[in-house]
Amino acid sequence: MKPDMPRMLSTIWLASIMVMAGLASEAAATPMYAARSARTCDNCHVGPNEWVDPVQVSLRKCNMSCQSCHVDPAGGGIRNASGRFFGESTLPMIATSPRPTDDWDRNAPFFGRRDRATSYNDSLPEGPTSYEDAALRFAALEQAIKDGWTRGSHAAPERYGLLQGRYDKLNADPVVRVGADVRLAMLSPLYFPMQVDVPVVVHPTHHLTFLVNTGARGRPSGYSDSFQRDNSLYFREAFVMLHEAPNQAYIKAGRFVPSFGLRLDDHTSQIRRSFELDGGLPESRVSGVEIGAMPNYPFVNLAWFRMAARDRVPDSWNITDVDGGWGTAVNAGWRDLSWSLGASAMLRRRPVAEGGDTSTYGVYGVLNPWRNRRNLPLTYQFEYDWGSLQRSSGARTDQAALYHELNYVPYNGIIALLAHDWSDPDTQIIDDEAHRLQVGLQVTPISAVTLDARFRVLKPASGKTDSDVFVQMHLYR
Amino acid sequence: MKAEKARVMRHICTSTMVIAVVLTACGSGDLTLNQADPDIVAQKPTWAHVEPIIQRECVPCHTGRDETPNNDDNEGDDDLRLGDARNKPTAPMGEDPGLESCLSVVANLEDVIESIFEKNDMPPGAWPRLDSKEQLTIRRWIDANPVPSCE
Repeated sequence: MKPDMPRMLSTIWLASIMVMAGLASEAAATPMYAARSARTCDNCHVGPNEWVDPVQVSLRKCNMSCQSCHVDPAGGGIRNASGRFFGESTLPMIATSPRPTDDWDRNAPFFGRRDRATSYNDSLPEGPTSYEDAALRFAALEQAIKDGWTRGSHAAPERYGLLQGRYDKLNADPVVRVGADVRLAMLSPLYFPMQVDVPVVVHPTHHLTFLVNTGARGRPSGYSDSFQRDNSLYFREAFVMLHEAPNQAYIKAGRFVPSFGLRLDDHTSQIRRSFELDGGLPESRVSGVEIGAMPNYPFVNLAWFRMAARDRVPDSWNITDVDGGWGTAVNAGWRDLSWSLGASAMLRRRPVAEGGDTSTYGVYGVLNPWRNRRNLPLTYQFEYDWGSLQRSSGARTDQAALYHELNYVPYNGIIALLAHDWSDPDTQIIDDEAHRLQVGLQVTPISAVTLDARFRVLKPASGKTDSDVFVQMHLYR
Repeated sequence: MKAEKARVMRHICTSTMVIAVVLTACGSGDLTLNQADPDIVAQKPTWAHVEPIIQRECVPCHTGRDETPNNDDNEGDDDLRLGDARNKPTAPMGEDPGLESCLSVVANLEDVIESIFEKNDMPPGAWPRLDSKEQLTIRRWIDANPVPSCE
């Protein structure tokens, strides 16, 4: 009887979370995932695990930048084969791809060795050892692909692209890739669909990619429009990109969110919302050109863009629907194996009636001691942003915001988090600041399903401190 | 090894707290928005200025229209009337009145003032509160006339 109790309790607990989330929920972004990924090589691809950099930096593909996992080099949205592999091998409690060797003994109690990812035998797959090896074995590697979310592949591998066989049975170089992303939320007493995305990537030839992500944000009554709020479907991202180049350089043109600071999935954080970077809002999208490169550990993204007025929702499908202003953003730094440091700047110049001028600067960083100490599964990230803005009267003032978060990963698929954010939306004004503290648990029971429950406390500078419980479920492919 | 782990944890926590305290202490001005930038909103806002704020910040939860001009702060009475308005026999006790129309906001003005200006507890939980400009707009609308105008 006694030995079964913990199993029963954990099952009930898990079932309760799933039921709650089924009624509700959202999820996931992941500068934290990127920061943690460097602790072991085989969470992004299959063996061989030996880390041998090509001598020429321009040939290196491994880095901790967003493009390692996402099709969009600036991060967020549909993932490439490496990101999908990470999502199957490392994130879940029950892995469906070979579990990273370092994680074999990190399964939660009662989720032990039953999954086939922890077989402790010699049958773990091995990928190509180099580009030349991938080219030599190309036909056999391509034969082994089993990937229902992609169609087609190219006739030969690309030196600067992802190589077949490196991501187990996932198609590393598809012609067409379709994804899905559904986020449901419960914020008592509300249950609502937070967001739905259907991204499509077309990669007709090496070096050229089209990405169109059609999505909508939800509300308690569904996806219908409401007063002054557009909930209908729109192009969240739509761009053409030239990439797979030396130094992982790229150029893209179209509609996107500018690269700035940490691209958190929590769009309510003031480091995103206060600076027109809220990923949930169509108003945060801009139309322009972005270039960048990630020669291994350094990275840089530089964008020039135009945008709709601050509070105007741009046309859903016409990505050239902009107003008179323009903007530019730069995001650069160094993402090393156990730490990173970056800085961002963004300028927007436009008439006061369109939102006025803003100048925003940010510094951010990550520390991942887990890489060096296997018994210390902690990761910490922070971002501090400040800058000037124009009020709707035309007067100038300053604003600032801070976010920092500590993650503890006790077992595979279970992340405990502690986060604090603070903002002062107008530094001249008294009593307009607020602190928010979050204690949360993110559970990924199986690949492509993440449950995120958070207890949040808001402390405004004046008035009552209040709290709520936010549960979200993220389903993604 | 445990001592080493504890030491690293302590360093991370201490550094984090120091950084947070230093950075967040840099904020906070000493003027109200009315003092700093009196022209940022109309001196006599109309319902047209207020309605988008109410719709955005209040109506997602406070659906329905409780337009009874009793303003009696009688939640039970409001609930019953709200229930009628929704064609239900009764609404659950404790449910707040709907704020979907100007008349319903005026009818529940005491609650609105208490929540926005006295307790600053709405929107609830950890949702961001109304910002200074939104608060000033509603304050001036309320103060402009003996009874706020729905014109």
